[in-house]
Amino acid sequence: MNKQRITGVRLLACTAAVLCIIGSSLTAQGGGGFGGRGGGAAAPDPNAPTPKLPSGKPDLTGSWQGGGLITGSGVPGAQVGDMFRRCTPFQSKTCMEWTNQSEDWVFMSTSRLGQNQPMYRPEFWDKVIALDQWTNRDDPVGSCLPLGIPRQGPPSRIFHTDTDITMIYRGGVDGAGGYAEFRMVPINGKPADPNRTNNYKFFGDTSGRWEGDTLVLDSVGFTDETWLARGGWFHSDQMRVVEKFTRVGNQITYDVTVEDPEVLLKPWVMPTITMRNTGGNTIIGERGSCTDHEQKEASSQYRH
Amino acid sequence: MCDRRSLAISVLAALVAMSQVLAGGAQGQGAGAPQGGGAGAGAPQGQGAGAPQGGGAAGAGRGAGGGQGRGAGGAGAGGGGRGRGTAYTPPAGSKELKDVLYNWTWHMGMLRSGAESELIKTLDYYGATGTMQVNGQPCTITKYHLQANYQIPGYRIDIGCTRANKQTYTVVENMSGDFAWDDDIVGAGFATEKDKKTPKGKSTPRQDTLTERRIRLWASPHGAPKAAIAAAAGMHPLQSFGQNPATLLDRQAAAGVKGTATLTWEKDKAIVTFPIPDVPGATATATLVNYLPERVVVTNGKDTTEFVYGKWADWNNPLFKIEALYAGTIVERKNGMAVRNVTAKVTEIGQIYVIVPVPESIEKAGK
Repeated sequence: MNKQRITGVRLLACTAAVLCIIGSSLTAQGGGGFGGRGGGAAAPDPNAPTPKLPSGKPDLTGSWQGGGLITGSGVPGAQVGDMFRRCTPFQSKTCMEWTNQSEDWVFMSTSRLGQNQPMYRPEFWDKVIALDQWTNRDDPVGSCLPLGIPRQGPPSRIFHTDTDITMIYRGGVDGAGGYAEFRMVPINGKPADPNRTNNYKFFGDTSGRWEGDTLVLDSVGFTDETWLARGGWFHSDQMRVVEKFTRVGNQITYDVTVEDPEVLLKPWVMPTITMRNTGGNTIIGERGSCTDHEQKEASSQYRH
Repeated sequence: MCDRRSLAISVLAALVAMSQVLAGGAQGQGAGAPQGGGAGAGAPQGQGAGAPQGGGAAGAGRGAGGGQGRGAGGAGAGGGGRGRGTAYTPPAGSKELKDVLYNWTWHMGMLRSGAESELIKTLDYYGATGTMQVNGQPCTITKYHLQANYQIPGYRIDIGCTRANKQTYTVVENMSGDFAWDDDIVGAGFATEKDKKTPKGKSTPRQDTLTERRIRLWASPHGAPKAAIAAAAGMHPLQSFGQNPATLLDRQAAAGVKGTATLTWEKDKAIVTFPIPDVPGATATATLVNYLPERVVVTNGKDTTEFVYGKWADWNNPLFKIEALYAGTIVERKNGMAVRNVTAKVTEIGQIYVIVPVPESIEKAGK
C-alpha cells in the first residue's frame, strides 16, 4: 500500500471520527448511526411487547442503536462539548480553535474521562501509561485490525434463532475507530472448545447460553492485539469476556464483564449500555479496504 | 490514527458535508463565535496581561503539518458558523468571584472541549531537583514522581532522596479516599501477575498524615482551583468536576445555593478563600497574580501550610504539549519551615491512567 492510500485511509478515519463526534447529537435524535442507515430509535418502552423465539425466549432480532464507548462522558453531570475550544491566553498567537482538537480529545474521550476504569496490576501501570502516550503508534484502532470485543461495542443489527445469533457491527464506533464486523455464535450452552481456543481471535471463541431470559455470550481465546478501549487499556490472551443481553420491550440492556487475571486485579464491569430498537432495517456497509499501519509515521504523541 | 493535519482536514471535510445540518443546529444553540473569540484571538476580554513565566513553551512541539491544518481550519471556521452555547467570556476587568474562578482555570488551561468544562482528572509529574525534610533533616531529592487522581481522590508520590550523611531515604507516599499510608515500593500490597497470592512490598498505615496529604492535594496547582470552584458552587469537587464553571455557578445561584468561597482584592491580586475538601475547619487562601496562583496558604487549627508556586509553563513532553500550565517550582512550608522544595522536570496532563487502590492490609487497619 502506498503512502497516498494510507493518507486516504487516515483521512477517512479522521473524518469518520469528526462526524461521529459532531454528529453524536444527530444520531441521538434518530439517525441510523455512523456506518449504517435506518430508522431512528423508538422511545424506550419496557412495556412494549417483547418478541419471542419459538422456544419462548426473547428474540433479539432487529436493528439497534445504543452507542459505543463514545456515548456520554461517564461522569455524572459532566458537560463535554465539541472539540473546538477557544485558545487560552498563553497559547501562541497562531493558535486557532481548530488546532486545539488534538490536545482536547484526550480529555474528552469517554474511557479516559470516565471513572469506571479497569484496575491493572501495579506492574502494568507504567505500561498502560506508555501505551497511551504512544497511542499514535500503538493503539490498534490505528491499524486495520478489528477492534474485537468489548471495544467494538454492541451490535447494530441482530438476526436471532433458537440455535444461533448473528450480530453485525457498524464501523466508526470508537471515535472513528473500527470497521463493520460480524459475529455468528451458536447458542448451545456448551463451554468453549479447548482446542478452538488456541486459535486466538479478535472476537474470541464464543458460546451462547440462556440465564433465564438473558442471553449470555461467553468468550475466550482472544488475541492480545486488541485493546479494551482508548487509554492504553491492553489485555492478555487469557481474557474472558462475558456479555449479557436482556431484552425488555423495545430495548436491550447490554452488560459486559471482562476477566483477565493476568493483568487485572479484579474483573472489570463495564458501564451498562441500553440498546434501543430503531424499528427499521439498518443497512451496514461492507468493512472497507485497509491493510496498512502507520507505525513508522508516528513522530509525536498526539493521541486520539 | 488522526494526526493534526489529517484531523484538521477531516474536520473541514466533515463540516462541509454537514454544514446544512449544523447550520440548523447552531441556530438553536445560539451561536456564532463567542465574544472576543475571533480566530487566533479567542482569549476572553480583558486578558493578555497574564503571560506566564516560561510560557513560551506552550504551543511548542506541534507536529509537522500543523500549518496546513490551521489553514484548513481557518477556511472551515469562516464558513462553519457553529455555536457552542456554554462557553463563557468573563467581562473585562471583572472583580466578581465567578469571573475570577473562570479566568483562573481558563488561564491554566484546565477548561477543555468546546464547552470549556473543567476536565483535568489526573496528573503525572516528575520532579527534577529539590530538597525535603525527613525527620527534621534536609534530604536532597533524587526522585520525585507524583501521580494524582482528583476523582478518587488520591495521589501517590514515589520519593527518593539523600541525606547530608549520604544515607538514602525512599518512600512511596499514598493517599486515597479516607486512607493514608506509605509503601516501600509502588503498588505494594498487591499481588503480581507471576505470584498472585503473595503481595509484594510492605504497606504501612499513616492515618496520622491523612489531613496533611489531603491539604497537599487540594492546595496543589490543580487541586486549589478545583476546590475553590466546588466551594463557590456549594459542593464537593467530585460533583463539580466536568462542568463549565460559569454554567455551574449560575445554576447553583439560581437554585439558591450559597457557596463558601469568597473573594477579596489586594490591588491587582485576587484573594480567593475556600475550605479544603474533607478537612473540616481547614481554610485555603489563594493569591492570584494574573489569574495564576503565586501562593496558597492553608490554615488548619494551629497549623499553617504555605504552598508557593512559580515558573508556570506547559511542562508536558515536547512530543505532546497539552496547552495546560503547571507550576515549575513548588515550595511547601509548614509553620514557616520549608518541608519540600521541588522543581518540575516533566508533567503528563492528559487524562493519563492513574489509580491509587488501597491495599487490603490498609483497609483492615481501619481509618
